[in-house]
Amino acid sequence: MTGFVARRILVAIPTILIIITVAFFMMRIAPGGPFDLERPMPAEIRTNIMAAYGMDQPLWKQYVDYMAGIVQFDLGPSLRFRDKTVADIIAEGFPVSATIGALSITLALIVGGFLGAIAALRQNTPADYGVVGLSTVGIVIPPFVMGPILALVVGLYLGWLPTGGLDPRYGMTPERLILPVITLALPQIAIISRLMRASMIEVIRSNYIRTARAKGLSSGAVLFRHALRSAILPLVSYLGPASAALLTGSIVIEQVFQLPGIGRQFVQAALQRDYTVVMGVVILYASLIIVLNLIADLLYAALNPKVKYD
Amino acid sequence: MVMTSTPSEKAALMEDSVIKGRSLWDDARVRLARNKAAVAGLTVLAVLTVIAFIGPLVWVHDPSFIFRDKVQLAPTFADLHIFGTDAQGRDLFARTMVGLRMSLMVGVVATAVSLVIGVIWGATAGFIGGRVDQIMMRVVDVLYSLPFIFFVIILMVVFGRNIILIFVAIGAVEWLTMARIVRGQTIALKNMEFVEAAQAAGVSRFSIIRRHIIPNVLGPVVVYVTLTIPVVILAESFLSFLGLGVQEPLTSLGNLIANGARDMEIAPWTLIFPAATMMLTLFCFNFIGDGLRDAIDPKDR
Repeated sequence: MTGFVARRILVAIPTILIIITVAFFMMRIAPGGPFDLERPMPAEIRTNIMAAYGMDQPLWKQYVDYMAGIVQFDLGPSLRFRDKTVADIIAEGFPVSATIGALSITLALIVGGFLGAIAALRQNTPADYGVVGLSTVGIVIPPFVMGPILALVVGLYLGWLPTGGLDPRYGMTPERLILPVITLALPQIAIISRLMRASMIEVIRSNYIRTARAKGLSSGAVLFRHALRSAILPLVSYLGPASAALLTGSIVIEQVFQLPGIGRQFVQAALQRDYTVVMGVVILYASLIIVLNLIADLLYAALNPKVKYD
Repeated sequence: MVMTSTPSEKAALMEDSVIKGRSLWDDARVRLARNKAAVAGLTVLAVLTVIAFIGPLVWVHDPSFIFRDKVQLAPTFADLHIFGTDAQGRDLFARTMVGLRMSLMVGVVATAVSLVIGVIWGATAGFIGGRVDQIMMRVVDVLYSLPFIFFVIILMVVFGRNIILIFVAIGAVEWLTMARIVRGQTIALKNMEFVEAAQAAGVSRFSIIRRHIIPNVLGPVVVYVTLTIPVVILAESFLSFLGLGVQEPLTSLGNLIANGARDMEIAPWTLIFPAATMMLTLFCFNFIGDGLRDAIDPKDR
């Protein structure tokens, strides 16, 4: 297993290096820089500022310096917020994004798994058709449509929940998280319920389930002790792609509900050419995706005795 | 038991031997026609496409004409503002048609880009095989693990919001799965007995590719194309929603939805109509894609 992890990390390192390099050069060949404000600044001030951020150096030197910083986990200063480093900005936004992401995936696994299992056990009944139909709706409606509609109906017309924003005085209160979490979770619920349904149908038809029934186990024991264990395996292997989808979705959710998370910071930074923040977020997200994929694979192998690390 | 055939069965058998064999595609067409959801999807999509491309030419209102006295007018049949007007006082029905046209165009063109790259990449890897195949697929694996939407966002920021770039950037992101599908099919087909048999029978290489390889690769590719178009439409709308996609005076459904989400407290119809149009379009593509998959791949049933 150590070998497996080591090999995966060995593949991950060049991947992250490529990401950093591509992102670095793409941002630098962009016309217009972070210091192009609405008002043009005097040439000397501009030169001084560029020098202060090391941007008067040749490009390769900047790249080497940046890489040297990365190795020491130093993402550099923000180019737009004078007294903040990239790490500060990420530290501000990350708790918000991580909370929403973690709650969403938990909700999606529980609800999606439950719905999928029900649909499989009641195959070809109205309950089954209902779940399949709902999951089609969930897959087709993107978060940036679902979010505003939920905010409109639940927040505005019914007035049950606030439509957005985090009050800095109270921070993340449950009623402000409900709508974003549900919006982010819905497409995942749809996909997970489909996966669960398909795998459950396959499992309950298999021989060992028939054996378990034949030896007189109660249907509850058959379901929970035998069927569920192998039926959730596809869900575990979906965790990697799910985490990537959640990270992407968080950009929209944070925009729709005006949450001060990383996704929103990323879009703002990209629009303002705050190079270092953009790079920091890309590196963070890429590493997160790689790590979460690795965890999902390890979990899968731990749950599935058929898998051997090769 | 004695096998006897009734006269009608005999007639049917005789007729069968006269009738020209049904091709894979005839078969698929029959199966598709039996799938109600897919037929409904195709019909609605055809109507939507006609409205999107012909509608703006014949509609009474110009999508960019500003009615100064009719800002955020609720939907009404007076003066035919059937979807109402937006925050600038432009006819929303006209804008929705133009937006849908843009979204459909992005969907088709960007998918075509991904199709070209994916088919060339996958077919090359599959045909040559060996080390070249390994390296080419390794590249695909690495690209798969990148958070691509971030690169598209950076691309849009770096090179300005150029419509051609949107086509290329999204297409360049979506080709990976296509490459995998085409490679898998090519490798599988290369070793198929009927291809070997054709070779043994002395069929020319060109004929083998035309009669056996292309039709068999085409099936999954067509299915995947129908499923990619809605994904691409979503990606473009996602960018436009963030303000990074299509720019004024052009518009897409994503733009309209973003504007509608901003104004929904005063003018909910500016959100509802574009959002409903987009969902209807995506439903159609999904039903068609699912129907095609069932129709073309008989193994799936």
